[in-house]
Parts: sequence; C-alpha cells; structure tokens
Amino acid sequence: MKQHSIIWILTAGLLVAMIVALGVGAFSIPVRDVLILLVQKVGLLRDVQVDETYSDVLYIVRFPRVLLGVLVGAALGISGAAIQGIFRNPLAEPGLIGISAGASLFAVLIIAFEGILFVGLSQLLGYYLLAFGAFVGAGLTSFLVYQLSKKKGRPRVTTMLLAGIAINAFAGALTGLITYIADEQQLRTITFWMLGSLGGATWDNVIAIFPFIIIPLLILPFFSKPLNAFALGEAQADLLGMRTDLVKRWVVILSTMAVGASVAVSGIIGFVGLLVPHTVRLLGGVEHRYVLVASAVFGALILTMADIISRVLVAPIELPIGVITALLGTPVFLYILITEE
Amino acid sequence: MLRVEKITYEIKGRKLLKDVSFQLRKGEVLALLGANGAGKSSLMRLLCGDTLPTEGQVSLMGKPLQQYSPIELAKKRAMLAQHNNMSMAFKVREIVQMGRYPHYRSVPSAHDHEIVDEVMDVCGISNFADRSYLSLSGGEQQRVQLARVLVQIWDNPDSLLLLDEPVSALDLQFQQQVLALTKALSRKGFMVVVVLHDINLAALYSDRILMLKNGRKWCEGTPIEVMEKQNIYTVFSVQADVSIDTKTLQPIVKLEELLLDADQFNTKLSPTVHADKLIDSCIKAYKSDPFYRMDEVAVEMGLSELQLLKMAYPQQVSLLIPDFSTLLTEFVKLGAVYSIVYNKAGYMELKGMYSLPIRDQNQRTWTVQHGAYRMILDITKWKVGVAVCNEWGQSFQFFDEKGALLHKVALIEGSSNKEEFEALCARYKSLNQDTLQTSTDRSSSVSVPSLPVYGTKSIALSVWKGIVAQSFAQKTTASCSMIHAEGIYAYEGRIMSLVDQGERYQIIYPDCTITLDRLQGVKIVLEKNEKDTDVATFSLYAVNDTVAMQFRVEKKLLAQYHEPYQSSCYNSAVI
Repeated sequence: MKQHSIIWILTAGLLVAMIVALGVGAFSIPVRDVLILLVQKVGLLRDVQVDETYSDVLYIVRFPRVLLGVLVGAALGISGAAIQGIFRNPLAEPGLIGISAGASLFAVLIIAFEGILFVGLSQLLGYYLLAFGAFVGAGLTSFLVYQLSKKKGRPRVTTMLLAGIAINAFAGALTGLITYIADEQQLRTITFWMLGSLGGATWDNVIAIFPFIIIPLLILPFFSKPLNAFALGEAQADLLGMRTDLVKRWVVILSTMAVGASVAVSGIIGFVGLLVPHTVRLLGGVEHRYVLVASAVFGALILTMADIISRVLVAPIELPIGVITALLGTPVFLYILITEE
Repeated sequence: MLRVEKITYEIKGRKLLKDVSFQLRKGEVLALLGANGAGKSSLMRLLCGDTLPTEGQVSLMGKPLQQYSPIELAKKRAMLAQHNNMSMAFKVREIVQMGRYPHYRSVPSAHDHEIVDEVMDVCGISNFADRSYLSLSGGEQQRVQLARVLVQIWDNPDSLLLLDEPVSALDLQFQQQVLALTKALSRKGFMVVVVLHDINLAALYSDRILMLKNGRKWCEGTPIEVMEKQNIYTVFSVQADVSIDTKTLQPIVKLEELLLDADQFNTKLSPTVHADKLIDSCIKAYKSDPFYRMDEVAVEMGLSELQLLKMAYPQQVSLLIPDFSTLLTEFVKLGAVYSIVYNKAGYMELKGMYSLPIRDQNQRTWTVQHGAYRMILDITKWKVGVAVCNEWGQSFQFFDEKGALLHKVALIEGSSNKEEFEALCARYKSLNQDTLQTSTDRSSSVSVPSLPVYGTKSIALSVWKGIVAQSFAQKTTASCSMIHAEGIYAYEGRIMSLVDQGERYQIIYPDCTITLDRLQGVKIVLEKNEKDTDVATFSLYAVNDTVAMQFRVEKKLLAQYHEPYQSSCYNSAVI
C-alpha cells in the first residue's frame, strides 16, 4: 500500500541520514568507519581496527546529537500532527496551545535571574535547571490554556485556540520584558536558546528526555481513529461514540510532554511541527494512522538533515538549527500553500 | 421504540423547546417540520443524545439515552447533521468507513468493508470513492456524509436514524432516491426522524409529521391529518392551498405566489415610476375581477378603463366602427344578454333582451326596452366601442371620450346568440385598430340628465337600508333607476334578495342586480313627496354631488321609520 511504502521509504531515508549525520561535521568520519563502528557496537567485526578518535567522537559527541535530533524531530512531527488533528486545522501547531511560549518564558526567566532567584534550584539541578524550567513552563502554560478552554466542564477547541493565542501573546510580552532587562551575555544566551540548537546534546539529556518522547510516540498513534473522527467535527465524533473530551485531554498532555521535553533540551525549533504533518498529508493522504507515524519519521528525518546542514554549511561554526528549519521550511511551505488546490 | 417525554430544553434562560412529547415506533418515518428557529435542530440534538434536555427525557428501546455508553449508543443511532464542514482532504472511502468506527477496535473486519462498499453503491458515490472529499460538490459531499451515517447502523434494524435536512443540497433525483431509501429502510424496522423543508416531500415520504412552532409541538399526525391550510399558515406563515391527490391520496401543498415590490424594501435603487406600478396593479386587479372598479388615483393619473382594457387584453379587443346607432338596432339579435352600467355609486347588471330602439323627437336619445327595464340612452356619449373576447366571455363595451366605461353588453353563456355576436364583430370591426382614443367631441357639453332636486337633508344609510329591507320583507314594489352620464336605467319590481356586506350592498331583482360598492361618502336624501303619488323617492348622491341612483318605495313603508325620519327630514308633515 502507498502509505506503508511512504513510511518505509522515510524510515530508510532516516537511517541513511543518521549515518551521514554521524560522519559529517567539523571533524569528519568516513562512512565506512561509521558503519564498522556501528556494527562493532552490536558485537561483530571486533577484529577490524578503527581510529580511536573516531570512536570517541562518534560515541561521545555524534551519537547523542543524532539521537537527540531524531527524538526531537519525531516529537515535533507527531505532536504537530496530533494537535492539527484536534484543532481540525492543517495550519495549527503545538505552539498554538502555548507550549513554546511557556517554555521560552521560563527559560528566559532562568537565564536572566539564575543568579538571583534560582540559586537553590541551580545548586540542586545544576546544568539541567534551564531544561527543567523550560519543561515546567511548557506544561504550565498548556495546562492553563486547557483549563481556560473549558466551558461547562468540557474543553472547547475554538476556545482553546483563542486562549492559546492570548496566552502566547502574554507570555511573549513577558519574555520581551525580561529580554529588555537582561545583560549582554544573557541576551546572547537567550537568543541562542530561542533559535534552537542540538549543540547541547549529551548522553545524559538524551536519556533524560527519552521517556518523555518515547511514550507519546508510542501512544499517540492509537488516537488515530478518534482524530479521524474529529475531522468530521467534534459533534460527529461524539455521535460515533468517541470520547472526545478524553481525546483532547490526552492529546494535549502527550503533545506537551513530547514538545516540552524537546524544547527543554534543544530550544525552540520552529516550523517542524507545522510543516512536517502538512507535507506528510500531501504525500500520502490525511488518514491519521498514517499521518501520525509518518510525521514522526519525517520529522526525525528533516531535523537530522537540518542538523547536517547546520554543521557543514559554515563549518567549523555551527548555525542554530531553528534558523535552518525556518529558512528552508518557509519557502517550501509557501510553495505548498500556493500550489495547493 | 423512541419515546420522547415532555422535554424542555433551555439555553441561557431561553427555552428552545417546550414540553415536547411524542413516540416513534419501529418501522416509522417521522418528518419534522417547522420554520427556521422553531427548534428542529435542537430537538434532533436531544434525540441523538448529544445534549441532555433540561427537563423530561428521551428513551430509546425503553432505556434513557444517557444510560447508554457512547459506543453502545453509536451502534444504535446515527445522525446526519445539517452542516458537515471538513478542512482535511479525507478520501470518500475513509470518511464512509468512519461510520464503522464504533464497530471495530483498530482493524475493520471483512463485514465492515462489505457494508462500506454496499452503502457507497447505494448512495451513488462508489465511482469517486478515492477522491478527496474537499474536491466534491455540495450534493456529493452530502451523499458521502449520508453514506457514513447509514454505514453506522446498516446491519442493525433496531436502530434510530436521524437526518437533519438530508436533501438540502441534492438534485431532484437524489432527493427522491434518498428519501425513498430511508423509507424502504424503515420498512425493515429502522426508526427514522427526518427534518425537511419541502412539505410535499414530507407528505410523500413520511408516515407521520410533527410540526414545531416556537419550540412547541404544534401538531402531529399522518400527512393527511396534519397538512392543512391553517397548520401550514400557523407554522410557516405562508398561504398555501392543500388538495388531495386522487391517485395516491396524499396531500399536495401548493404555495401561493408572494408578491413584493422592490421599491418597498430597497431604497438604494431608482424607484419604478409610480404610474407604471399603478398600471401594473390595475391590470392585475382588472384581470382578476370582471367587475373591477378602477382606483380614483388611477383615474387622476390619466389612466382610463379603455386603456386598461387594451393593456390587459391587447389581443382580445377589437375596435368597432363608431356607427353605434345602427349597432344598437342589431343588439336584438343577440338574444338574452347582460347589460351592465357603472356609475359613481355602484353598478347595475340587467339580464334580458334588447328591443328595437325608439328614437325620441330631439333625435338625441334612444329608448330601449330591455327585459323589464327601460333604458333611455344618449349614445352620442359613446365615443369608442370595442368588442371583447376574453376569459370572462364576450362583450361589447362602449366608452366616453375620456375612456370611461359607459355601457357593456355581455353575452350569457348558453342563452346568447354567439354566432350573431361574431357576425356583428366581423361586420363592425374597424379597419383602423390603432386609434383607440377618438378626438374630443364638440357635444361633450351635454349635461347629465337633470333631475329636480327637492330634498336637502340627508338621512342615515342605515335608515335607508332599513326601508329597503322593509320593502323586501313586505314584497312591495320598489323601483330603482341608475342615473348615468349616458342615460337612465329604470327598473320596477319586487326585490328578490338583499345582500348587505357593509361596503358592498346588493339589491337583487329577478333579473337585475344592483351592486352599490361605493357607499362611502354617498349622501341619501328623501325627496320632497308629491302629494298625489304614493311613492317616496330617495336619491343617492355620489361624492361629486350628482345623483347616482334613485330609489322609490311605497310611501306607507316610511311610517315605521317615523322617529329617525322625523329627526332627519325637513318635511314631517307628509307622513
């Protein structure tokens, strides 16, 4: 079937891109060596000799980075697809329910006031304070938006959209205010964080976010039936016996988990959540069982490729990955918009 | 069985439904009718269990809707909503398959696939099963949604099918087909509730009809019981004619045309010239009423009855040679005819035969015996004569120089000599049909036949009517003369019947009917009584103070009206 083959092709593409991504960068590793090292990891070809440096770079630097890219890309892709599903709007994205705005606000808050306000926490969490704060911010704002969207105990999608816009604007304003009082060094950190980067990848944070992303990745595809029904309209989905309130709640929770975790470690990477599901639909249709899975794979692929570009384009300097996705994504997106029937 | 018990539904203090109850048995189609905002869609939402009523309850198969689990309910009732907007390009087959969602967990069974294929065939959407929903036309989209709804309950004849305007976007063929399909399904046990706007479709395809008015049940019953002019007017505020089709014994509702004038609601367009509008309405009224009296306003605007006739029946009117004195002698051949004459107060219809006319000494007037009447005609007043042959019959009509109708000779179906009429038409038809209006005649100064005016004080209309009624009751002779620009029409006899409808007062003699339809403003005067006669004469003065009619009754009748008469008449000594 067409949709299955698309998923397989994308997966194959992802694997290729991952191997390429493991090799390229400021310090280049030949593909042959990458493959040998990978195979050795599984316990084969132990007798082939590979440069020690290669192995160190690969395991300590490249591996976590590529894995982080795959996780974050998959998280953004699948959440984008799910959020578009409950909003019944192909132009929605996870940012709409306040995840990114909340994460930014908290991140900026921590960057600007780390020395003053969060000393205790800073000692406790150390390096992870920023990621932790961003995750909490993401969760809090989307919870707030979700609560605001409730009318008579039932969340309403239209209200959610408007509440999301309002909360986004509000958080954006607060972020702007804090940016205004931040000093030069903090400003630079803030800007860099806001543009998104996979540069901070370590095994530790890959492991830290792994459960937050893998759980939504595994569960969200089970929502494909209700999300399809949502496309008919919420009332229609109700009539088909779907528990729409539960679906909305869980989609919001799972998306917030995935996107919140992604934002926490890699900053804000725009356009992936919007563009990936959209492209996936154009490729193979809008049925959610396909869209959700394909969006995860395609998101991972896009982010891996963007990461490659960000590392090789002006090597040895790294471009922020958010810049790459936006730079490449916007024209593609506009092209799709214009050529769409 | 669907049981709706006294449901009331309220949103923000507004009651959208009030105390609605009804039942629907298995195998029945119920059509829900009502104006916009009557509560049809609210009722449908309560029936589908999506919303709970504020009061009362809906139960399906003996179990209240709220006690069903969503999935359980989804297998037992399906609803097609009025609006189905989608923004994602699902394929037709995918959408139809969603209807089976309540029946499988993650993979549809072969049974599910069979149902989907079967229903898509039935709904005529198989040939675009793989197209995107968004690329379909409105009617095709509606059929796709219908298919999805049918698929949901296709294999469960115990279920409830709710259709909110299922045919609103469909062409005639599919309207029929969809409704026939639901009716056929109902015969297998399905309960169907369908909201329709076309009352004829509702009458054809439903077993029972329920009409809603302002959230209340207005009536319920079989189409024949419910489809009544009065119900339709109450519920929809439209005038309709309801008849019963003799073949199917189904009611047929025919709507009357509603006429609107754009000038009355759109002030941003240049208004139609008043005269044109007036003429249009006059022509319409003229065509609908053979005794149409032209509006005073129209007369002031310069519209004449002659023009009106010519405009209303351009093909059916032919102009006659103005040799009316000869023509008058020919009328005897026509046999029994109506002679109709109009004046300011009313008109008089006489039935009888024209005699050969006798010319009086001054060569001016003709005296014609017409049945029991005598007509004294001044035919020099006749300026234009036409023969008319329209849906009201055949007639000769004569007009004065201003185009006002003076005299009309109309054939009576069955008793008049039609061949002779046609022969006369052929002989007298003018060669020049274009000039309807003759040049103004020098002799237009000839005055209305003058009558001596004696009385000056008027009596009340009711008093006069009372005297006429007495004359009728006592079967005494009462004579009546219509006085008209062209002459006097006199009749003497016993009144056969009186019809009093206020504005319209009819005195009916055996073969003459006098209709006074312009009684408003008419002044009635009891003329000074000559001592040597035993009749009392009443003159009816029309608005321009000319005598329009004289009415003579036996003097003894006045005695009973002593009181009012005395107070209103200058001469009480007579009585």
